[in-house]
Amino acid sequence: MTEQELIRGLTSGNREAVKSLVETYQKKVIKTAYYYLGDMEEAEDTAQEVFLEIIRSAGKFRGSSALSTWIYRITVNRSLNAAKKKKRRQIFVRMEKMLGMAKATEMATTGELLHENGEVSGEESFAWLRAALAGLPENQRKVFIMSKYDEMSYREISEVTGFSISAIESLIHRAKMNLLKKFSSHGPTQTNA
Amino acid sequence: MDQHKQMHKYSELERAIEREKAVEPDPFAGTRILQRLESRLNARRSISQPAWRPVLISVLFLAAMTAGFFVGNQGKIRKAAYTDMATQIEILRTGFYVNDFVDEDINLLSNE
Repeated sequence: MTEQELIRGLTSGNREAVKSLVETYQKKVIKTAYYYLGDMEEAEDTAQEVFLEIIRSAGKFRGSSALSTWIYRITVNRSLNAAKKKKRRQIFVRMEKMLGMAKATEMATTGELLHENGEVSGEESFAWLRAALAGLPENQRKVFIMSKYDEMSYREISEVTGFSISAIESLIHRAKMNLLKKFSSHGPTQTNA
Repeated sequence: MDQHKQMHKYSELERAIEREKAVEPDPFAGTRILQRLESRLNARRSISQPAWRPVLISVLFLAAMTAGFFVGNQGKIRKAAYTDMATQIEILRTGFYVNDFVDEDINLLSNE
């Protein structure tokens, strides 16, 4: 199915078009959502919302950018919204921790699960990395994930975000510095590579 | 942080990123998403009927009831008019002193 056929099918509620949309883009959408949320189940839920929005808004797609770029933009926005909601939930977890009610797994999602000697094991470094990414300012996180996780070129990032190339370079540099600072303060020795 | 240490830290960071990137979605995730999408879209379709449809049905129902009352009333009026006419005929007959029994006497018609 070509992009135009897909859009026409989605606009008219064609079931085959919906199936084609999901089959073609599901892996990319779920993985992108996962990079923002750090949880595959939440990434699937977010992916479902992304596809629903694409189906509802298909009639508004004007073709000024590639369909994949449009879908990616929706995915990033939805993932960021879901990540914000998740952060608000984590604030409640922190409050529970202060009251001595938080569970260890919940503490891990806030990046606070460290061994007593300050070392971070392989699986836990995922949690640490996710927490460190979640702590970045939104634009830095967005651009860093696009560059390092989605392996997009600066030009592609510029097309999605509307930022200039120099702004993108600056954001990536600042994101790196912030992540390294967090890495250092958590005691960085890796026990499982 | 000296540059060597920074580079070492960043290498570790990149290794962690590569491990995260290697995580793949469940192979059945797409099927699950499609099923949930279809049930949500079907639920939307059954709810989203045009707003004018129930209004039109109500209006037609009211119109049918009104028409029924009207037709029924017309019948009553005609019956009342008929009854009225029949009464007038009776009065006229009484005035002519026409005897029913006389009507039935066939000898009246005989010239003998």
